[in-house]
Parts: sequence; structure tokens; C-alpha cells
Amino acid sequence: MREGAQRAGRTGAPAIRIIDLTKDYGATRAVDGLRLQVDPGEIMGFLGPNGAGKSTTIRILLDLIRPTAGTAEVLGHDCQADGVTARELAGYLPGDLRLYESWTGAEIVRFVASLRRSPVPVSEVAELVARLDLDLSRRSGEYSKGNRQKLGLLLALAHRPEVLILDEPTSGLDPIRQRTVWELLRERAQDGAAVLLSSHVMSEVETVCDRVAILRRGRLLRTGTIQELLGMTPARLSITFEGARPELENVEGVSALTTNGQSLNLAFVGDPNDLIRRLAASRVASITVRPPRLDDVVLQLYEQENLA
Amino acid sequence: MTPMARASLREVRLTLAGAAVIVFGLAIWVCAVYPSFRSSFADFELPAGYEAFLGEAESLVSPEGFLSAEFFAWIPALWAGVAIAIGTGAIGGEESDGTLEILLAQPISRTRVLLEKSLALSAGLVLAIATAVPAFAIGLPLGDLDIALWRVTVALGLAALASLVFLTLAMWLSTLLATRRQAALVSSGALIAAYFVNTLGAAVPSIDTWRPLSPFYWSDASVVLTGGFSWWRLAVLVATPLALWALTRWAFRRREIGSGVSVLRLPYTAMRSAGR
Repeated sequence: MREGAQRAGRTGAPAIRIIDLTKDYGATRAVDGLRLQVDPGEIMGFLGPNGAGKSTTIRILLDLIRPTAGTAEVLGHDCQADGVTARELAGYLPGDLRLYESWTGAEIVRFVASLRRSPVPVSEVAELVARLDLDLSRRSGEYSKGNRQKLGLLLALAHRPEVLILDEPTSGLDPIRQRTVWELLRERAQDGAAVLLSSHVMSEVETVCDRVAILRRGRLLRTGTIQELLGMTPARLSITFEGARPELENVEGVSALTTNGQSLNLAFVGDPNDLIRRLAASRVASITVRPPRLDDVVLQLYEQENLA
Repeated sequence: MTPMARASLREVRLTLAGAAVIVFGLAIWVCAVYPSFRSSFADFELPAGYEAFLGEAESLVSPEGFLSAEFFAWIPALWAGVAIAIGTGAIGGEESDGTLEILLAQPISRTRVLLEKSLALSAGLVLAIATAVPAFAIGLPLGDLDIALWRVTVALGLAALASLVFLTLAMWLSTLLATRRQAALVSSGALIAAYFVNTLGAAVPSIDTWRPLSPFYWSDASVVLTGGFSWWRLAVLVATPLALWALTRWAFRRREIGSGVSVLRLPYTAMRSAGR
């Protein structure tokens, strides 16, 4: 395990700890009493619609903006009072990466590396350049969106930070490089680094993340592992019968039941044994099961919040 | 030189090089036309109001009066304009371009960012102004101007300090106000006001009392060119940029990067947390 995780283990400090964080912009509350923790070796998905407070939280972690109330820490270092140390331990990829357009990629990498206290391993830069298939000799102003993103990832990863804060890391990348980035993040997490990954791509979050935090209107709606969140959301079943349809209305876990001739559509969550017994009593011609997806979970949470 | 300083100078190198080349050429040209100017205007009497523009120099055709009126009366305002352009770009420009975010996400304090940028831009500006020294070394004998080069150099030094006042003013306003454009507008307004208050104040008694508010009043070249020197003037021109730099640091440490909000409109809690 890498030094970061060992250190966090020694100090007992989480990689990221956010306590009662609130941020107001005038009369608008962008973040509302957020509490969140990311541990070393964990990849945390940070989800929410536009304006949910994700970027504001990330910008507070980097001390680009200041909280109205509450605290944010990176490996025990307060992001405002001890921001330089906190940022030494972190790597950051902004959602809207802007670079010095007249500089080459290599010049930007050298410049950013020169601002760090500890040297950036050249071998690490070379490996990332190879894996991301990036040409550092070109001016960044000539880069495509994808190549700018690769350079941003290189800047975030090259110093092997103990905490990675990434806003839409695979935006603009082709599917092959997306997979490369996912592999890189998993490798870093296995080495003990913590990753806070903000993304709108649910399939990416489902593939890469261990846990997820879902925000809306600045408030934390839910945190949990992917499995926990998927487990609380119904699977969708379409069943066609030969002959009589069974009565399924009273089966525990069944909801949203609709009929169409010999077919039934329903949502189901919970212990499936009772449902299977009922189905076995009839002759099933076909059955299709669509397992729950993370976007179902998120949409369901938003709907519940709207109702509340 | 630190990487940050190199990077800051790199972004303004064309502006500074252009200003240096123009001033170098103008200094030689002004000196070269002096003999023909002297013979053409030997018997010319200036209107009383215009004589005030000569400052301590007694005559427009004297070398001191000629340089005061034809070079030092307006070139320092040009340098001040250059100072405003690079001063608003240093922080405000990087913020509006979005590059400040990736810079401040690195383990470097805002004070260090500001210090290295300020020193680099100040040095670059002073060096650009200093190109006038070799130009006058060539021009003074060429135009038969009987003034010691060191006096011209001191006058250039005071003008350089006046330009540093505008550099730090522009940096302060770009960290204080919401956008770079606002900072550029207010800084430019201050430059125009300072220039006209100083020049018109020399001729209009009712404005004269306002002249000490203008950096150009304290950097008046005619005083040095005619043999005088005031440590008090030098002290004002050194202290003002230092005070403005301190205000810039205060504002930059409290600035919410990329929020487009003036520091003056931040709630008290945000300002206090930045000071921890």
C-alpha cells in the first residue's frame, strides 16, 4: 500500500472529510450542510444534476472559494487554513479545463510540476503519456477537446497524489481512452489513493466507483455502495404467459403492475422467492428482466425528493 | 528567476518589447530633432498657461524644458497605460482565461503567486523603461542636449516608479472588482484623471491643490533635469506601490476565484475564513 494510505492509516484521517459544509451565493444556497467522507483506496462517485453543488464543493476543497460555514479537509488538513498542504496531497482535474494556449503540452507539464514541493517522477509522466496516447510537443491551443482532457488528467495524476478530485474525467475521450482512465483510477485506488469523481455518466460511475454520493439543490440525498443503491431500486420484469395469468398484486415487492393481453409488466424489489413460486404456478412463455441501473436510482431519489 | 516569474513575463513579453522599442526610437528621435526645434523656436514665447507645463524648466528651448515638454510630459502616461494592461492581466486576465484555477489548485499560496507575478512584471516594466537610457546615451550628444545622462536616468527612474503605482493599482483593482474589464476601466479612468489633474493643475490654480493625488506630480522630470531632487518625492513613489501591493494581497487572499463576485460584496464570514 502506498504512503498516502499508510499515512492516513497512521493518522486515522479520512482522505476527504466534509463537515456541515454550507456555501451561499447571495440569497442562493449552493451547498447546504453537506457531510461526506471518502476513505483512502475508495472511489467515490459524486452525482447530481447541474446546480446540485458538486462543483462548488470541489472548488471549496481546492480553496478556490470559501465556505459560508463548515469545514473541508484533505487527509486531515483543513482546505482553507492549511490549503497548501492539502493541495500538495491532491490532484485536480476541473470540469472546464483551460490551459495556456500558446504553450506546448510539455511546457505546461514542466511549469505545473515546478510548482509542487516534491519532484514529479519523469517515469510517471512518460507512462501516462504513453497510456493516454498524448503528444506533448504540440501547443495546447491546437489540442482537440479529448487531448486537452488527456493533458488535464496527466497534470492531475503525474505526481501520484493521495487524493484525486476529478470533474468529468472522461469527457471528450474516445471509448478506448475512457477505459484507460478507468483502469488508471482503479490502479490508483488499489495503491491507496482516494478518488472523488464527479460525473453525469452513470454507466461510468457504475463501472468505476465503490460508493456514490447523490446531491440535489446543495443537499446530500443519499450515500451508499453501488450494490446498496441498486438493491433499493426495483428491477423491471416483462412476463408473457401461456394461458391464465397469475394474480401478482399482493406479492410483496411488486409495484407498477400493468397488463397487456397475456403479458405483465411490473417492478420488483426484495426477496424474489414468493414471486417465483407464484410464477411457477402458471405456464410462462417468456420472461425478460431488466436489472436496476444507477440512473433509475438517481431518478427515483429525485422523484421522491420532489414529492417531499 | 522562478518558473512563475518566467511564465508571467512570457505572457507580456510582446507588450513590453513593443513598448521598449517604441520608447527607444522616440527617445533618439526627440533628441535628434532638438537642434532644429531650438533654432525654429528661439524667439518664440509660450502663452503663460502653457509655460506651466515646463515645470521647473524655464524655457521650452532649453534642453531641460524641451525634454520635459516633448518626452517626459507624455511618455510616462504611455508607460502607465502599459502597466495597466499587464497589471490587470496578471490576475484578472488569468482568471477570465480560466488558467488561474489550474494554477491555484497547485500547492502554492496566493501570496507567493502574487509576489512572484508582481516582482516579475515590475522588473519587466522597469527594464522596458530602462531601454530609454541607452537611447538617451546616443541621443543627448546627437542632439547636442547639454544635460547629464545621470539626470535623465534619475528622471526615467521616477517615471518608472510612477508606472509601478499604476501597475499595482491595476493589480489591486483586478483582485478587488468583479471582472478584469471593470478593473481596466477604473484603472484607465484613474490614469486619465491623474494625467490631466497634474498637467492642468500646473496652469489652473483651482486644480493645483489636487496635483499631489497624481503620481505624475511626484515623478515630475523637470525637477530632476534642472538639478533638483526630493527624497520626499522618491519616498512617496516607493511607498505608494508598496501600499497598493498590500491592498492587492488582502483582496487576492479573499477573492472567490471564478465566481465573478467583487471582494467588496463578499459576506463577512467568507472574508474572515480567508484570513485564517
